[in-house]
Amino acid sequence: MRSETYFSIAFEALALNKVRSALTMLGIIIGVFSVIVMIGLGQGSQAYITDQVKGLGAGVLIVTPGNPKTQSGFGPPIGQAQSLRIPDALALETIPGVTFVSPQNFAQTIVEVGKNAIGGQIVGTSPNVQGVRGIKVTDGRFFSDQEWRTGARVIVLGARLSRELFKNTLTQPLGAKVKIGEQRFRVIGLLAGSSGAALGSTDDQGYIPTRAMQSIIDTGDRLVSIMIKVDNEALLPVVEDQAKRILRTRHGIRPDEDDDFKVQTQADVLQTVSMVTNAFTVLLAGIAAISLLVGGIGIMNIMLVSVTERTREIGIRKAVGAKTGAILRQFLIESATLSLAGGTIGILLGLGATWAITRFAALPFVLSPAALFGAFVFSAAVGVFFGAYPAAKAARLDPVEALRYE
Amino acid sequence: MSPPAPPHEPLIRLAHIDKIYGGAVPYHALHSIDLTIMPGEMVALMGASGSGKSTLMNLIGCLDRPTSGDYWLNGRHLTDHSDNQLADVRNCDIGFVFQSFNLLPRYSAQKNVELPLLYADVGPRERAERATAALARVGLADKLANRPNEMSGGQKQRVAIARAVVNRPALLLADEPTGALDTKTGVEIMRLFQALNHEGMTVVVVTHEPDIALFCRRMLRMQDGRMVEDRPITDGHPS
Repeated sequence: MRSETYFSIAFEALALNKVRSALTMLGIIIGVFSVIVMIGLGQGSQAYITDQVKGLGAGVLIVTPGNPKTQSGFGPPIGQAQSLRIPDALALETIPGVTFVSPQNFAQTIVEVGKNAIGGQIVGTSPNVQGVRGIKVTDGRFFSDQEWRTGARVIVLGARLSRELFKNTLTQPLGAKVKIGEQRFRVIGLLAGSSGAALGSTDDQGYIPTRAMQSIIDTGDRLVSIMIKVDNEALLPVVEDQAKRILRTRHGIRPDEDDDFKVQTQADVLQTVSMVTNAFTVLLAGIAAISLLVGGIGIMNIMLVSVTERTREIGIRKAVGAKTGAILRQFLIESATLSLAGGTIGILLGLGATWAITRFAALPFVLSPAALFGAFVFSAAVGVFFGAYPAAKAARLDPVEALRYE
Repeated sequence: MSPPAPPHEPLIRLAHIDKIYGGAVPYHALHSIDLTIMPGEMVALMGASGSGKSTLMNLIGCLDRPTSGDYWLNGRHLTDHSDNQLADVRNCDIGFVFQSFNLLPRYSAQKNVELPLLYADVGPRERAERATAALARVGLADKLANRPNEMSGGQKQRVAIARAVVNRPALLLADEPTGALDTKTGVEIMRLFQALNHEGMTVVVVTHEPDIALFCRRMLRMQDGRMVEDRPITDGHPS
């Protein structure tokens, strides 16, 4: 018997119990839907973070404090006694081939204007962060090299931070003073609103010179990272070596001791990012896959009921010459049709939901065809796997007893 | 279509057939049945309920296997056929008619008649042609699209007969074909069997009604799993 005949038999049988078929499919729909959404969001976030890191440009080295060998696990880095400081950054600037060095420090703190107190992320950095992060100033200006060197009390506010701070006040943000801790900072610039991205948005940030960080937090002179921009990508290994040597000398590390800092290239960071997001995606998709399994059990349940209900039909088919394999295929194709239809609907709904969420969260929409194909094949496999037992039961029925069944 | 057997070759030959149903108390349903039916015969298989006639019919119809003994159909020794080979025999060489019609309720008359052809790998166009012809043969040319629940008992049994003969089998087996029908309709159905027999088909009718048996030309009677009578019918209804 031809396969299209099996499919038309399957459709007829499923159409006969529309509500039951729809409910059975629902399990698969939900399973495939959640797998697609989880993978879609995982891949979207990964693409977003990757874009961010790539935005740094290829010729970038990132120096972070802490021993790379002891820092792999959880918890605070060990051996951070000699963390990175501003003089380290200044020393790195002397390496030939370095375009600029951008020392960074972050603090999550409260910014106040009058009665308004808003939480924000204060970034201590240098003016060249503009080039690195693609920051655009719409009003006023960014702080100058001079202001950076002296650690002037000036601040450049992100769009939402300035909007919230000066809400219900008559004060013009530009030129006004904001209070961070006991220090007052003069607002010299306002940033353009970025696209409301979930991660790395500048909207809630305030940028101040690195040295000024010391005035608001105790660890203000310790840097979270130093970014080194190199003229020419080919120089990266040389600059990396130089940077390590300089930092080891400055930190007084003996030759037999490990580094107390880590130098990574953009590629290293990308690798770390994709490792983390991949693990996350796999975990979520795995949880979603469990719901697909539950859907498969639903199919098995319904197919068992269906086989029992149609015992007589199976007997008739066998009496007129249906072989064991023909009955087996008929029921397998029926369950596969259920799960494939459910899988297709789940994929379409999942695509729609992923598209909507990524649009809302300003993430890139990069659901891979491999994931869609995988979901399709997996749902078909679920149908065949969970349909196998009921189909085998149907195929094994004794024709005499099946014909006698009431 | 199976080639017609030479006249001297029996269509059915049973030798020392025993059927014992297992279980806590084994039940001896058939005792050493020997039977020969020649091509073109029309045989009534009679007996009270529990006499073993349905069991014998299932064995002849290849729906079941004997516990011991040999069975030749059209010269082929079926006793050691596999399940799938027996399915082929049921498909090509045997047509079944049941008391309760056993039509698929959600299929039209035509689809029901096409069913054996489906498992014989006949293409859709030829299936439709042959099903239509078979339904016309039983007088239902105008009921092709009707479903079983839109037909009378007699019409349903005609559809079942069309399904049984659509693959042009050598043997037509009918198990109490008139049991669910009124007398007049039953007679019509038996006349149809006679006509098919007249065209060369071997017909075996299982029945407990003597009136129905009179439409046949040979009568077998079973009792307690044994064949107790085998005689020609001389005073029946000639076809």
